Amino acid sequence: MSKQNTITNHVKRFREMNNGMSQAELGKIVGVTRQTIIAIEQNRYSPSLESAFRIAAVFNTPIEEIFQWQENES
Amino acid sequence: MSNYIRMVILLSGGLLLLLGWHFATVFGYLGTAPETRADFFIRLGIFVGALVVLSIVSASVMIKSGNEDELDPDEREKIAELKAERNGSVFVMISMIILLWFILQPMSPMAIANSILGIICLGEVIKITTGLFYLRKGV
Repeated sequence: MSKQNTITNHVKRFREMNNGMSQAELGKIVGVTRQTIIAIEQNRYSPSLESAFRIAAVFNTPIEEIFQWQENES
Repeated sequence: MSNYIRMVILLSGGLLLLLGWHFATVFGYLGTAPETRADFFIRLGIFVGALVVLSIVSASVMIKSGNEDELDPDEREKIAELKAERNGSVFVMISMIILLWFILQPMSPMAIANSILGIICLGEVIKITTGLFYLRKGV
């Protein structure tokens, strides 16, 4: 039995709540490309701790409200 | 697609075009292949020079268009590139080990040099394709 860790996020929701901030704008502030923000929102990429904290700081929200970690057994 | 990825594709594409032309001459489809070691190394030097010029020109174009910030890879691109480079390197290493056995067979130095060049070329193809796959499907 293998364990797969999944990190989900609400980046898109927080972005839309923040005056509809664009992916490119968020990417520029965080220091990643627009494509990386898209990948994060689609759960295709788990950002580094540094980037996750930066995203949380942009929305002025605790990191655990934006990113959630679940342990899946498959 | 970020400017960094565009530049990597442009440079790798340029390298593959040059090597493709070289192998077309080696297999007799286009022009004449280098026959002596000196000719071979001159051609290799021209390839390196062309790549340097291509990288300078593409970087200058990006800087002129005001996109110099995107010339550095971000964290996701770095991971994808690292994984793709590992795939390419594993292929090159395994192929070189196989080639070592072929060296024991009667082979001309030019054939060995072209085989090494071909292995590097295929390694680059594997690196580009797996890199783009990781960027598209997730790292």
